[in-house]
Amino acid sequence: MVAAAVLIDIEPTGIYKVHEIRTKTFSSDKAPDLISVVKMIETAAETIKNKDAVIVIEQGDMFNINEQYLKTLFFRDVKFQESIGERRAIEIAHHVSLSTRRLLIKEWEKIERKIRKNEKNQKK
Amino acid sequence: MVDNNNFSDRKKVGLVIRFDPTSENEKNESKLDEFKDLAKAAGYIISFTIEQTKYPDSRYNIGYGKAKELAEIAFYEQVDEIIFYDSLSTSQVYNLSKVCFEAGSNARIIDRFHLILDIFDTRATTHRSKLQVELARLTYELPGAKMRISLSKKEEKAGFGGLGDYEDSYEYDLKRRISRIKNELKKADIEEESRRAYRRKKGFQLVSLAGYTNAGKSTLFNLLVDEENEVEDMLFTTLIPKTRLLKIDNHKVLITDTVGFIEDLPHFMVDAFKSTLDGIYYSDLILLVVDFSEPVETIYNKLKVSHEILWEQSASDIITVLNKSDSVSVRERQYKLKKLDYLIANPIFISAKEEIGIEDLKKMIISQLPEQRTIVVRLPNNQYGASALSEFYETGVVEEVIYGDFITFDFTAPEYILEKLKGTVFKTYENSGMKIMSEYHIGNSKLNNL
Ligand SMILES: Nc1nc2c(ncn2[C@@H]2O[C@H](COP(=O)(O)OP(=O)(O)OP(=O)(O)O)[C@@H](O)[C@H]2O)c(=O)[nH]1
Repeated sequence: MVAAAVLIDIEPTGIYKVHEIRTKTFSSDKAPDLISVVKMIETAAETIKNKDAVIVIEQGDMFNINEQYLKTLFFRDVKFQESIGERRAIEIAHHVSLSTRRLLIKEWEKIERKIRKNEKNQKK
Repeated sequence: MVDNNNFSDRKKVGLVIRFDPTSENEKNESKLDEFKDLAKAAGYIISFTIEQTKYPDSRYNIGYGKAKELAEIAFYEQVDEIIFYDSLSTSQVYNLSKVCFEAGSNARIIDRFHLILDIFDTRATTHRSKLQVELARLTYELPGAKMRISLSKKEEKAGFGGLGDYEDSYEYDLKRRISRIKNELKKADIEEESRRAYRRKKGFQLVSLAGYTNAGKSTLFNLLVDEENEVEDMLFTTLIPKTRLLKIDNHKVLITDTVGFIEDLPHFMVDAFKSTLDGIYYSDLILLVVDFSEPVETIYNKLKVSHEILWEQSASDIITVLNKSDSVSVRERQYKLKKLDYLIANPIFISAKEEIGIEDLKKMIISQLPEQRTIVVRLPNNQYGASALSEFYETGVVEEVIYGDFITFDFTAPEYILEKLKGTVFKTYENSGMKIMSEYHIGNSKLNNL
């Protein structure tokens, strides 16, 4: 799994400036539960320099829990997306995490192929 | 907005709303308000409203006693329709109609979704949106189709043999019609696209009024479109009702009033609703009209939903028009604005009713639209010149036309239109003596509002 954290200045209807984008990878054998998602988000957010920024999260990524409950789960200030600007910011994070994930999988497949080739060669 | 001379055409209706015993009072009140607004938006006269706090009754939605009471009032008030807030099952409609009939009233029983579809119907202007609305209506009716037939035929059942066949074929007809509409929609999509492209090419700037029902969109629309500003253009005003061509300073602006947003829209209606908003997604600028006199929580909820509706498909700028500020104190305004500022883009306080802040709003509209440039053009005073001139008239604002040895005039249009013209019209008429004499910019002074 890839979590992306983006530090963005927003306006009500759009993005003013993208300051920083960081990604963090996680792996697990099973689908993550709520607490693991919280941990992943917090870890990813830690990689961003500004530690006071409010973390905006997509409600669907949090198993559709309500916002009050959400706030109790995090150490930092969190909220769900509301404005168009917040939605655009989330959109960027989604694109980043998705493309990073694709890239990783592609690279991993390359490495796997190489390993297999080496194994074959060794057998010979 | 309905004017008074159609008074006799307007339907008289009664509203019925049921609250769950566990529901909050405040929420119920805003539900009821929205319900009333909807009925008004459909142009109905509300004769009475009936409320009951009770869990839903499977036969009448409200309690039987209340239903009888309703029937008597409906008879006394001679209403044409009774509208339920809750979605009604076919048998509930049947049972309620029966109770009313027995009390002497012939009122048609419908629910809020029919009401919303009626509103969409009156606002659906393009072929495509009309189809979308019909599709939503058929989809809503389909599950009850069989039932409705057998209920309406119940009385005649004696001697009516092959009713089953009839029911099936009715359902079959509905399904066939649904699939036909879906096919037509595919075609209509393409037509719409081309018309939109056409509109764009002509260099009009599209401005849409959006917002919840009752925010004051129509009032503002009528104010902006007074005779002084309105430019007669049969093509547009007949093609797209609720759209007018205006001239604000040197900008030619197509302004559209859209159907109001509605809370808790069921899924199957979303496409129909969005299709009535078509214009919004292609506008250069959206005026999001907000009733700022409402409680801050209500405004918050409505703004949130508005952003949700607008964000996916629209990349246009938004001016948040904070209306009805005549009935909000300055302190309250500042408090609400501060609380909600992250949801409010380019705010401006106005009162459409008291006509306050309209000039500032117009200036703000202009400052948000693409920059305009004016050029002085000289054309030969002959048939070529005349036909070139008509092309200029269609693509921008033509002023100060002087006919002499040459036709000379000021021509104003957005930058990208001018560039396009240089590639087309100017090329075509180059040899006949057409010439740009001088160019100057109209400053887009960003204005201080609030
Ligand atoms: N106090 C006050 N009332 C206003 C103002 N503007 C509009 N209204 C009132 O608000 C009500 C709704 O106005 P409309 O213009 O019909 O609202 P709308 O948004 O077009 O509503 P729909 O047509 O239902 O979508 C009317 O009773 C207006 O008189 C304002 O600036 N101040």
